[in-house]
Order: sequence, then structure tokens, then C-alpha cells
Amino acid sequence: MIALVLAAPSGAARAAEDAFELFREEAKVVTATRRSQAIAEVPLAVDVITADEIKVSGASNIWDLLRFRAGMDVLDGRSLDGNRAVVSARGIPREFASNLLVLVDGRSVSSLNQGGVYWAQLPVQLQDIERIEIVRGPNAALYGTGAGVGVVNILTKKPGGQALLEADTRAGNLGSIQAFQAVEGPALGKISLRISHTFQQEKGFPRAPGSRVDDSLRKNVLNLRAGGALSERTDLELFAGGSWSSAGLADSSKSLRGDFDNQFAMLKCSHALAEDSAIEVTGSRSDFRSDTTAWSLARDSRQIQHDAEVLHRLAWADGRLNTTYGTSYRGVVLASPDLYGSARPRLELYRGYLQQGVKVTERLSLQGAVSLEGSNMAGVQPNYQAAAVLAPVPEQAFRTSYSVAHTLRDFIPVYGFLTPDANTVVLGDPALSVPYKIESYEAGYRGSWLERRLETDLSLFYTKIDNYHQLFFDSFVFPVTTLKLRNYDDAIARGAELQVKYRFSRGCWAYGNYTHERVSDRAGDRALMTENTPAHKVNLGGSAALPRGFSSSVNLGYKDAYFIGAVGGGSLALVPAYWRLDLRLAYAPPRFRGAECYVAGQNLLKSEHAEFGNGVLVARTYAAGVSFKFGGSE
Amino acid sequence: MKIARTLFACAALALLPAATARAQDIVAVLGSDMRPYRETFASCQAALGRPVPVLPLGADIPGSAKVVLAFGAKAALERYPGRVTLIYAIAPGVLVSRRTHPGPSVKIMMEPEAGALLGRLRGIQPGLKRLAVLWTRTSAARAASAERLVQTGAARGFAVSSERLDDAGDLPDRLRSLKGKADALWLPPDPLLISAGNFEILKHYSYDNDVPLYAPTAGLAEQGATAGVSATYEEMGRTMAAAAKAALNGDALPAELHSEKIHVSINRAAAAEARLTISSEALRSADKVLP
Repeated sequence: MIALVLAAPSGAARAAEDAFELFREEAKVVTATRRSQAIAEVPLAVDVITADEIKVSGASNIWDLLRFRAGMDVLDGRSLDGNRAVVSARGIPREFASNLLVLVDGRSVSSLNQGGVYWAQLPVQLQDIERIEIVRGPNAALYGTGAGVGVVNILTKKPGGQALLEADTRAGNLGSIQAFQAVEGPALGKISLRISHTFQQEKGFPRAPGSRVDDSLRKNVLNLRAGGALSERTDLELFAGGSWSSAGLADSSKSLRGDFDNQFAMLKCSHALAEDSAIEVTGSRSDFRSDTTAWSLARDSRQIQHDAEVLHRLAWADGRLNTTYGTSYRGVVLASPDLYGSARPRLELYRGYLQQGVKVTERLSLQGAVSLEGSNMAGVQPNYQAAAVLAPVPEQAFRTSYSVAHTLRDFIPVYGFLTPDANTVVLGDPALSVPYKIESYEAGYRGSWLERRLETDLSLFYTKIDNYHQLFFDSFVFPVTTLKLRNYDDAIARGAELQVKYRFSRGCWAYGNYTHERVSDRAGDRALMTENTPAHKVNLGGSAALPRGFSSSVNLGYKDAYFIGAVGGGSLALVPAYWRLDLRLAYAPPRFRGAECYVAGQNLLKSEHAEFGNGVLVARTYAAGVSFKFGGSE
Repeated sequence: MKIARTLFACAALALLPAATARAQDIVAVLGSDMRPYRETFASCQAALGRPVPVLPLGADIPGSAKVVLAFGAKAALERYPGRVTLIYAIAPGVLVSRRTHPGPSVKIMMEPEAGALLGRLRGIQPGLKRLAVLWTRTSAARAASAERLVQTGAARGFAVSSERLDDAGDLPDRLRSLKGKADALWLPPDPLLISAGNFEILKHYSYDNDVPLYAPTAGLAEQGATAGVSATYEEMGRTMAAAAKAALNGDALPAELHSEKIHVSINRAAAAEARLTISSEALRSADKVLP
């Protein structure tokens, strides 16, 4: 009798349980229906940059948004072939970061020439970005080759059904001007449309001593996004746009200019089979042309890419099981006489994948993914990953994951035939068509405290890269030196990433993050592997809503010293440790919330410093601007 | 006598298919055997005056069925033939669209109609002028309800602010931003917002800032809300039955129906914590008063 009394829940506890039981039961159905997943339940290190954070950052370029994020590294001032910035993750920057997959609305924007992304030529505008999702850690099983170290997914704003007019104009030093306009609203009944345009002009960063550079930029970007419901269950979206730019390129020996056209069109159709099951079909074409006034990696080059994908997402078994499976095709053709001679390298990639999540109990979730990729370059390659999330108490979650990714190399290592000058030849090696393997172990923790005012995230990672290629001396036959790319090296990247964010109130928050990364490799080559990423990085910052309509934001970052290849190749350059401070101060009249004027400054602590070799120096920049927004929804 | 028995048997046999068919013109589906679903169903069946067959989830709907009564979101989101009228209740986070059910559908609302709700709240708190309504964007059914409250409030001299949360994690921040701006909080039956943890946050906010908290069930009033203002399961069942009869008659039905009778539970201790003095008249008119 006593045992029964002790075992039975008290009346008060049962009443409390009953009070919430209905809503708990209903929430399961709604959650499974919506397929929303709290970040705490995701088994990978995820960071999200929202549209509000983009606005208050004061950044004028997309890569500067990633600069102060844990685990991310940004180098500015490269400009060798028009690709001014290098963005990488987890200690593997390299000059051409080909393991970080960058997507815009799910479409890959990486260059297969030499890997990496032409950030300055991306056909996407800052003010059009709804959010940026950064997934650190391998995700190749779901996203495919190129996601061996992480994924950056830039998601643009979906047009709403209400009329909206936006404008944002800024001008600053170094001859910088940026003017953005967007119009949005309903069209032809059921369609919602958004058209936006940006004009950007800069005279460029100052030259490093001893170099001849013309680091200027003149760019127009135009985007169109339209969508509507074909039926009660089917939605159709069209994305199209382009970036047309002319840029000075940095080179220590000659002055170069380049013209870049980057255009794309994408169609996406989603059909709801049921509330918890949907099919998506996507097709896209992109065309990136570049040409320069003298030899460079971007001379007379054209990459045409076609992508198609079909996937099915569904939740079943009372929402305990979440499945995504699909198939995709990518076809890339690249022409560049200066890089490949008469050959036109091509990639045809077919991929099938399956991701399965299982909610074993309320506290334990498991996730696994597997994909098979077949290509003309490398035959059939598998990728797989497994992860677990344990939430022993609400608001606290521990995660662990293991993954294997096989990454296809870019075209230059395989097909390259470069003659940068009369005395140098750089050759690719067809044997490098074999992918290199990335194996990764990761553990992490995410927690919320103090009624979710304080959020913390910790990640520990160990990533092993086998058979990575580097450039080696091959032969010398007077007067020509031949260099060849070979898969000579193995590397291990280890590190830790800690993030803390405290929210004082709406629009008022402070953050800090610390990243430690260490790369070791078999070849012992510090130039290209082991010391070209800072061992320690610290970022601090925050945003505050001040009285009388004022608001401010600050970002302060520290990077340890590192080595990086100098512009134009050849010698190394040591970049000393430095601090960087970015600030923004804005005023919005209380009676007219749609308007705002602001001043923003970047790199305010020093008049100039080097981040990449000796081509250009990243200067202190400041600008003033005004923005308007009429109409739209909240 | 024998002839009478024979005639009676023949009449019963003749009527049996009709009775069976009539019984099958309304069927019920319960999302689970939870008490709220069972109570609502029992009340609905009693109001209909006849047994209603209960089908398991996923079962085929008989060809004779013209009305399906669904209890809970899981039952409401099942696929039913387009020829049936779907009437669903106790599914606060769901709004059935043509995408889910191509035929007519009617939702029996848990919360009172906007004007009736505001009238009851003012009866409990006569000085109420500014009411904040909290809801999550991820709950599809909430947006229209919140908008109706705002518009109805404006017509009746209330300043109702619709506080949309992108997700429940934004709740503490939003409450902090509401300090000094609301005389009371209304918590609609939003399943993505109502959890034990969030309710504790709301309750403490209510007590610490002297802002009464009104909740959509009597159970939440027992847990510390100032008052619960809602339709009872019995009343929702009766409303459901009336809608089913109207559907069988071929009458047009609105997409949402509110029960006429509203149940008010007042928690005196919680009211005292929120520094709200409730008049004796309000206490007398309440259906339940908790000490």
C-alpha cells in the first residue's frame, strides 16, 4: 500500500501533467507537419546569420559577414583573378578553398577552375539575403562533393504578397559607392515578384609596396525572384539574375583588368503529397565568363553549369522518423585556352542520397546519411555520415558525429596546362581524377540558460585529409621550369570552437567566440597547409538599441599570425597578428520607421594591413548611407 | 400476436438498412484515446442522439458517410474523400486547407469568439485596455485569430497587440519588450507555445510585473494563470453535433465555429499575485473559482 502511494504521482503532479498533455500531443503533430527542427536538435555545428544581423553589421560585402563567425576564416585583398576574398572553414583556407560548399538558394556557386567561390562576382545582393546558414563539418552525404569541410547556404528573401519598395545608398572613402533598389509585390494575380538591383563602384585598396595593382571594381547586379501557387498543393518559383563587373586585378609584376559576367536561372517546384510529405524538383543553368587584359587564371574562361535535382522529404511514424532521399545531376563544361589549351574539361556527376533521422526517445535522436556519386572523372564514390544528439534535460543537447567524404578535385589539378610566363609551365595530372578522402570526427554541446537569454555552443573536431594535392617541382629544361600537381600530402586539422551569446532584450545582444585550429601534414609544408591559418581567433561584439531612435553595432576580431602565398605565387608572406574593428551607428526617426541613416566603418584600428600576400593592403574604410522601406509586411 | 411479431420483425428488417445507413452517414476518428478527445466525442454523440461509429486512423471511410468528425490534429490531417464534410475539434495548431481536404471542412474552435472573449476579460478586469496576444508564427492557425482579436478589440475600445513569435524561444525577449505596454496577456491555444517551461516563464512574468495572464483552458488556470476562458469539451461536442446536423441538411457552414457557452475559471491566488482585485460579481458569474 505504501509502495503504491509512493509510486503513484501526486494529484498536483498529475494535474500539471494533464494541463499540458493535450498541447504536447498536438505539438507533436504540428511539429512533424512543419518539419521544423530546433537548432539544438541538429547534430552538426550550425550558425545562422539573420537579415537583421546583416543590416546592423555595416558590411558592404558578403564575405565580411562571415568574418567574425566561429570556425570561419576570411582573407581579403587577394584579387589575383578577380576573386578578391578567400573564405574557408576549420583551418583549411588554402588559396582555393574547394571543400567549403557555397550555395545560393540551394544552387552551388563554386568554381571548378581552381575551387573556391568568386565572392565579388556572385549574383546576389546583401539586401536580398534573408539568412545565411553556416554548417561547419562534413555534410557531403547530403550535399555532395565539395561539402567535405562545411556548407554555407545563402538564402534570399521570398517575395511577399504586399507591395514593397526599398532603397539603400551609401558612399565612402576609396571612391566607394553602393546603391541598392528593390521592388516587390503581386503580379498577374497569384504571382509574387521581387526585382532588385545594385550598382557598386570602388577605387580599390591601396597597393602593397613593390606591387603594381589596380584593385578597382565597377559592378551591376540584377536579381529576379517570382513565385506562386500552381494549385493548392503545388508551388513554383523562378530565380534569375546576373552580375556584370569590371575589376582591377592584383599582380606584383603587371597591371591587369578583368571583365566578369555571371548569370543564372533556376526553377524550383514543390508539391505537397500530404501535410508531412513533399517533393521538390529543381533545375538551373549558370554561365560564368571572365576575361583579362593579360595572362591570368581568369583569362578567356567560361564555365557553364547545369544542375537538376529531385528529392522527397517526409515525416512518418508519428513524426519519429524523418527521411529525405533524392537524386541529382550536375554537368559542368569549362573552356579556357590559357589553362587547358584546346581541351574543354567537363564534369558529369550523378548522385543518389538518403538521409534518415530517428527520434529514439524524447531525449535521443540519431541521424545517418549515405550517398553514391558517379562521375566521368572518378567512377562511383560513396559518402556517409552518422550522428547522435542527446538532450538529457530541456535546453541542453550533446552531439557527436562521424563522416567520410570523397572530394573531387577541381579541373586545374587534373587537366591544367598553364604557362603563366615564358619560363614556367604548370601541369595537371590525370591521376588526380581520383578523389581525396576526408574523414571527420566531431563532438559538440549546445545549451540555453537564464530563460534562453544566454546561449552557448562548443564544438571539437578532428579532420583527416588523405592524398591532398600540392604543387611540386617536376623538371627544368633550360629555360623552362615545369611544376606539377601531385597528391603527395596527408593532413590533419584539429580544433575547438566556442560561442557565447547573451540577449539583453529585443535587438540588444552581445556575443563572443573563440576558435583554435591546428593543421599538421606529412609533407611538412608550412606554406600551403600547416601555418596558413591563424591558430587562435577571438571575436567579440554586439548590437544595441539606443534611446531616441539610435542603434549601434560593433564587431572586434583578433587573428594570430599566419603564412600565406604571396600574390602571383612564389614566396611566402607572413601576416602578423592583428585586431580588426568594425562599427555601425544608425538613426531611425521614431515617426517614420521605414527610413534610416547610418555611418559604418571597417578595419578602424589600423589605416591598412595585409591579409593576403603583398598584392593589396586592406584599408580602413568608412561610409555613410541612407535606406528607405515603404510597404511590405511586418 | 404472432402476426404482430412478424409484422414487427419485417418492419425492423426493413428499417435496419436505413438505420445502419443513417448510422454510417456520420463517422468519427479520434487522434488517440486522450481524455479531451473522448469527452468531446461523448458529448457530440449524446447531442446527436445516436451512436456514431468510431473508425481507426487510416481506415477507409464508408461510401455512405457524409460527415467525418475528427478529434485532434492527427485525425484532422488524415486524408478523407472530398465528398465528405470534415468537422474537426481539439486541433488548435491546425487549419485544414483544400490542400489537405478537398471537400468542405469546419473547425470547432477551442477559444471563444473574439468579442465574447474580450467581454469576459473585461468582466474579470474592468480596467483592461491594453491586451497582448502571444502566438507563434509556426502555428498556421494563429495568424487569422490574432488579427480578428486586434480588429474586434479596436472596435470595442481595446488596444490589442498581436505579438508574433518566430519560435517559442523568442518568448523571454518578447515579454521583456512588453514591460509597461500591456495590462494583460492572452495566451491562445497554441500548442507550439504552451509547454510547461514556457508557462512557467509566463506565470513568473505575470506575477513579477502585475500583469494578469489569461489562458485557454481551466487546467492552465489551475496551474497558475489568472483565469481560464474557454469552451468546455462538452460544449465543443455539442457545437460539433449541431454542425454535423447542419451539414447533413445541406446547409452551408463557415470555416470556423465557436461554442456559444464560455467557461470561466478564476484562480484567486494567481490574481492576487498579479495584483488584480476581482469583483464579487465577477466571482459569482465565474463557472469555477479556485482558492
